[in-house]
Amino acid sequence: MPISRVGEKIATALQDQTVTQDEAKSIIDTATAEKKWTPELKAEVEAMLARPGTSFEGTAKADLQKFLASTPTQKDLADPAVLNKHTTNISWNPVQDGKLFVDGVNYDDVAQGYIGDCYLEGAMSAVAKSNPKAIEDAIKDNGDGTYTVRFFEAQGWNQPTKPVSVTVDGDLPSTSPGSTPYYAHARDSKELWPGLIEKAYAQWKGGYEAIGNGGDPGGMMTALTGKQGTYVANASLTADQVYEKIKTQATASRPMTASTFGEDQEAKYTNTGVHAWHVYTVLGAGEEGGQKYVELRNPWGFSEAGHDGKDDGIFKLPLADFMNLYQGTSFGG
Amino acid sequence: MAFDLAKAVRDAAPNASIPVPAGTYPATLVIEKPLSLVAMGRVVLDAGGRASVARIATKDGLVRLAGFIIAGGDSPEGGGGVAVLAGAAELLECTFRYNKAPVNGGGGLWATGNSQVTVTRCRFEGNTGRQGGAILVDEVASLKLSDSTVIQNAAVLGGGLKVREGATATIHGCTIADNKVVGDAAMGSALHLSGSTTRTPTVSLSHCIVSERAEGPACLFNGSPHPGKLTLTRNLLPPWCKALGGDNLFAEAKFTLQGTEPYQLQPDSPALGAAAEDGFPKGAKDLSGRARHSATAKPALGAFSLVR
Repeated sequence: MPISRVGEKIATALQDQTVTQDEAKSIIDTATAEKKWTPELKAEVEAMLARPGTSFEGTAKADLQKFLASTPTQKDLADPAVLNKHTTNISWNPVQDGKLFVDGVNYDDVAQGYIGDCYLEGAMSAVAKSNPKAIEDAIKDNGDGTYTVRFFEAQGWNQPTKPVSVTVDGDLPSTSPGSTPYYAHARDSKELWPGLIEKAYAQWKGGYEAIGNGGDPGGMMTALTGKQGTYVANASLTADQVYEKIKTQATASRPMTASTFGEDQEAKYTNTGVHAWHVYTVLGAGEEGGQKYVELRNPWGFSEAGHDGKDDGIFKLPLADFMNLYQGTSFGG
Repeated sequence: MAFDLAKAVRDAAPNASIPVPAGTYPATLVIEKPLSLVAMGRVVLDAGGRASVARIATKDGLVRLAGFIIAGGDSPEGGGGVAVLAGAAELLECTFRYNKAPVNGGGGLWATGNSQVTVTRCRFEGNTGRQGGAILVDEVASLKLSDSTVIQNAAVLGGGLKVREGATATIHGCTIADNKVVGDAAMGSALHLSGSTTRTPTVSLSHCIVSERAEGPACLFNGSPHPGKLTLTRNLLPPWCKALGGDNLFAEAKFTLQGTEPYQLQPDSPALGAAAEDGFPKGAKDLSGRARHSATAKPALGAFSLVR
């Protein structure tokens, strides 16, 4: 195991069995500059303080003891493997001053990163819209730099789901410390919950490659809420029936996502602002000026149909266009 | 008056048998009771790219589809051709052709939940899905696939079949060939297994032929971090598979690659007569409906027992 930078400073300080104030300051500065102050690093400094025969000049010992007492450690757990194509340009970095939730949970917090898991992001946003408390209840801050995310594992139709807890640390994948996480993140760069849920899901399923190649948005909503839902193809209902179903389900606070057709039908999406091969969050349905619409959100957090004055990914689509551009809707339980 | 298939399904009493007259039917069926649908001649069920051709979810009993060409299905949920979400289903002598599941997977067939699906003498050809071009077996579902071909399907993970979570697949007497995986993560052109920290998929492959252009995990993927339980018994596998050992054969399959049945065997194929003594039960038939056993030779491996 390679010696840490803190360990190097300690070794230098102990060469003459005496730790000077400057050496103590150097150890503290090095520790502060570490990406993460872990229990293992703390143990190295504690061992030095307890080492027989070592003397400390001036306030060196007190300074080190004060630093240890005032600096909480953060555990560093093994992270899930990133996508194969990102192994060389991504590292794991803590989000400085990151908070699990900033101003509570909001469906508009979610922003998909450079990974093909729109089914997961769309579902997260849908659950945040219909039942934000379900998201809050799903994540526990363990107070040691780790978070435990509770999912539900489906056991089959009409069978009770089984809770599964996955603990991850707070590091998120990014190209450099301080940059926006490369995969799921929140609009507010300090808010952690979207990135942590995605990370824990990747940890559960075997890495980002395992979750980053499509999936079932309905199954993802079940994983987040423990309740089974259903999928309804637009082709199986009339436009008015689809409208009424979405409206009713929105009133009942059920999470919903809608999927577009595959890339082979890309042409029909030209100049629509809607993307093929994608999952959107369904926010609801309504009527304006005698025209029925479905309100949707792109999990990217931008890129939308129409011109409502802000490109936040949230848009109202005429019902006829929804029937034409979307293949069906997943209704969560 | 034209036969209204959707109405026939809707109105049928549980456990009814519905003969479907020859013809092509636009079909996005939802089957929620035990039923038997039987093709009377050449019957094409075509979803026209709008949804799954059939979506099956029953509490009890068996849904049986026999003799259909299932085409043009397209479902983001999964199972462009047929999605079995719950209950037992039997698919007999069906052809799954050009179905898609671009968001999730199982272009031809998606068996999920705790469903139990038996597939006998079926053909999966040219289907595509994100995971499992022809077939995705998911959650704790079980699949028995026998005397069938899985040919020229494509996906990102598992061009032919993908088995994930705690699902089980028993594959016997099948030919899995010329499937493809595409994309950055492309793995498992024939078969892809992946579990999680809480569940492990189980796959048994016996008396089959696997013949793919890709090698290694790009052909058969059962890798880290959560591999499944994969048992390979008496199959004809590509030469690079030798390291897998067991009582498998390792050689080129030697298909005829001609005519209407291009995956029949040439007279010098190593698959001929290579079945174990008890590999197929007495009276067993191959994909073309011919007897597996003859007076002069042991049965062959793969979907087709006899030479062209």
